[in-house]
Amino acid sequence: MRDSRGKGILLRLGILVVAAVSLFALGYDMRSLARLSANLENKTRISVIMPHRDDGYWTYVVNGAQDGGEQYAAQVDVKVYYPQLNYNIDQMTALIRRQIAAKVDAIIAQGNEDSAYQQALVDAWNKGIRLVLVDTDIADFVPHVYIGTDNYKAGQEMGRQLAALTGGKATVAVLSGQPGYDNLEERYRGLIEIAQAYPDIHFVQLEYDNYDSLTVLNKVKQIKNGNPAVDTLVCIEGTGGQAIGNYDTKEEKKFRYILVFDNMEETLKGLRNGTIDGVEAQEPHQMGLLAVRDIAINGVTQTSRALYTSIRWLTARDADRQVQADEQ
Amino acid sequence: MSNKRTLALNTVSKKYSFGYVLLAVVAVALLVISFTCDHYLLQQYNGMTNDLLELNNLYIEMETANITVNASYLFLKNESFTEYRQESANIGQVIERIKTGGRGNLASREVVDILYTAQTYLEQSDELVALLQQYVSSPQKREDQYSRITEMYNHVQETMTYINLGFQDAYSAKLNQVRESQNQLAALQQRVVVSQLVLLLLGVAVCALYFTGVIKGVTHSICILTGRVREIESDVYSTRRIEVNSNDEFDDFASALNRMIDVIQTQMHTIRENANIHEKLSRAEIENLRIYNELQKSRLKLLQSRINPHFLFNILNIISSEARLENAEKSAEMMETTAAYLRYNLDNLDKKVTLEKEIASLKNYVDIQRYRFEDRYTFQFAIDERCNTFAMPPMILQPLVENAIKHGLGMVLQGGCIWVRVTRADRRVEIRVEDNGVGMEQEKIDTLMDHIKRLNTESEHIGLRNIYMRLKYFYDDDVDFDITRTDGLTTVQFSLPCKEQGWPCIQ
Repeated sequence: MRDSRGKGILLRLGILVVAAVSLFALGYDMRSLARLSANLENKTRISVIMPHRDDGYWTYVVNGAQDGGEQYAAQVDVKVYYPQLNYNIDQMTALIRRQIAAKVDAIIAQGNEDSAYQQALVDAWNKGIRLVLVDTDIADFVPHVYIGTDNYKAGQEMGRQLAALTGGKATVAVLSGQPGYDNLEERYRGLIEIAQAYPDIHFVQLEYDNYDSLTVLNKVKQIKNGNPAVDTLVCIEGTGGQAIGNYDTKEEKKFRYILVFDNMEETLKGLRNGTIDGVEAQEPHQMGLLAVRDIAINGVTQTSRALYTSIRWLTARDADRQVQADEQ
Repeated sequence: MSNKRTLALNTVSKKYSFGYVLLAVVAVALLVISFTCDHYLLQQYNGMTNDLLELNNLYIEMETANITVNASYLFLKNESFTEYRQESANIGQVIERIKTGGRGNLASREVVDILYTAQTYLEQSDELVALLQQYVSSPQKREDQYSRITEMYNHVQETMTYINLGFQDAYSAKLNQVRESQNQLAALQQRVVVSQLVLLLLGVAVCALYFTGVIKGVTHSICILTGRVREIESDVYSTRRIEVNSNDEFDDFASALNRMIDVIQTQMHTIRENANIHEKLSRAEIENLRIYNELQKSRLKLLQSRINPHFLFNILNIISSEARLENAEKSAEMMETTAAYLRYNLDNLDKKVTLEKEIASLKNYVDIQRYRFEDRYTFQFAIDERCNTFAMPPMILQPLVENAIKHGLGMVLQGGCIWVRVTRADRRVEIRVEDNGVGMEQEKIDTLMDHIKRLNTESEHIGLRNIYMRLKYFYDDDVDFDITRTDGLTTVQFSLPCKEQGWPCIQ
């Protein structure tokens, strides 16, 4: 008798639980749908203007910014813009002006020496828009925050690694991105400064890859054919290492030593298969994340500040570890 | 209290009614849930459509406003300025409507950007139109005014370009959002259907369980009642109570049945007790009849043993007279003693006598035996005089003494003695006849006692058994009888009741 009563109570409880779960699930579905309609008017609208829709460095920056956007979803809304053409300063300037017209609250962009570009940023600042520069800083500029690598020190580190790898004896060609980018200029200056201490290291050529793999491969061929004495290639911009790692093999390696910037997938591939000898890795994801976090947490910046992200030197041994870590 | 009682489910009818109410509640709940879900889904679809329509409306208004800006700039017509003002106001209204209307648009970053860009556009175009009006109304038509207007016009058109780009982004984003929402709504719709089905099934299950419970309860109650009635059929004295615990009419019915069974059992108990009493009475009557029969038999035997005592008594008197005449004194005495003994027997056959008379008669008998055995045996009497008036049946002591002579002293040639003792102790009279004869072994004594006391047994010890039966009959079974053998003495003893008042004592 008592058993059957107990079963009856259990059955009723079960029915109640299932009904409650059904109703709760229904309500939860509706609520999650309603959550889509959250008002953005009271949020800080951040526009991220990237120079390059790549598959590597800038993608990590964007991912970092979007992760920051999710992390601070209650405070900020992050939207990313790219120029139609990679590193097209006019289009990037137009994107900044569009943000000014849209009265956004903050702009995250790369610094650039182009005066129109800088003027657009100044106009934005004059309209009360907060500026955060990532990867590349602009010296003597309106109050802003710089988040990225200390490029001069990064160049110095590259110089030290070059000397260590070549034993202080090399004929070096340098592949950069485009002229007029402070970050690249600083890296180059740091590199040269350290190399000066080694009399047998000679910098014989400086080329620009225009931030695209086609140009990288073409420039590499030109350097090799034009100056057979060059035995070491240093890419102080990420696309170089990316293209070489992706398309060359160790057998096709055109230089004795190749040192590159930025740990992208293709770069690590080259590092693992021996095409690339060393990679100076920046923290692009951290740059994007810190930029959004800074806007979400801190108020309007009245004076310029710099938040330097870390750098790491990776060899083939580190590359395997990096892959494993990424897989995890 | 009465309300509580009215609301309580204490009848089968109420239980069924509650089931139907439950069914109705489930149906209504399902209807409400269905209606709410459908309403919500419809609202979401309408919201999405309205958002798109409003956005499109803004686009149209922006395009129209820009046409009036262009017309104002290109043709400097006052009508264009007025039209622009109108369009500008319209845009302001649309923006306000979007801001205060559906939250869907404000949730889209692209739309929010457009709204702000539209505001920028209005600010710039307002300024441009104002400059144009100023320029038209100004007689000087200054160069710097022209440059400022041209610059402002370029800004306005640049902003319009951003607006167009923004609308492209916004439409794309909104359509993506609509697609995403549609997918989510479709999924939600499916889940709503599943949830409704689950709730429907649960509702049906609840109602089915409830009704099954009610029906089972009724069946269970009937089974309990039927089973109990069958139990009572087979064992009317079963004391188990019927307990239905159904909280309805079956409880009342069970109580009534319990009461009915109680009445039946009480009556049955009375009948059984009466039957027992009747049976006991019948047994007692039969026993009485049997005792009476035994008594009659013993009487008959006694009578048979005394054939014509009057004739013998007369003969003995004649012989006694003749003996005296012939100077045969001893014979005369013997005759007289024998005659006295016979007279006692003859006169008191159906009477009760006093112990004194019985002792006197016994002494006559003893005298007769003395004549017979001379000094071979001695007889000793120890009689408590307080017992002289004690009433008893006649011819009790003589057979005891006769048995002592016959079975105890029969083989004793010299020194045989018989003691007759009568004592009174605590309302009882004890009569003992002892002899120092050969006696009996204890086993034989036990067998003898058993034969005497077992009433239905035909015994060879008729004398003792007769005495025992007569005493029992006389004293209403209040007779203690025993035979013992101790220290060479065989004792036959009776303990009889002695009341101060009533029949045992004769004053």
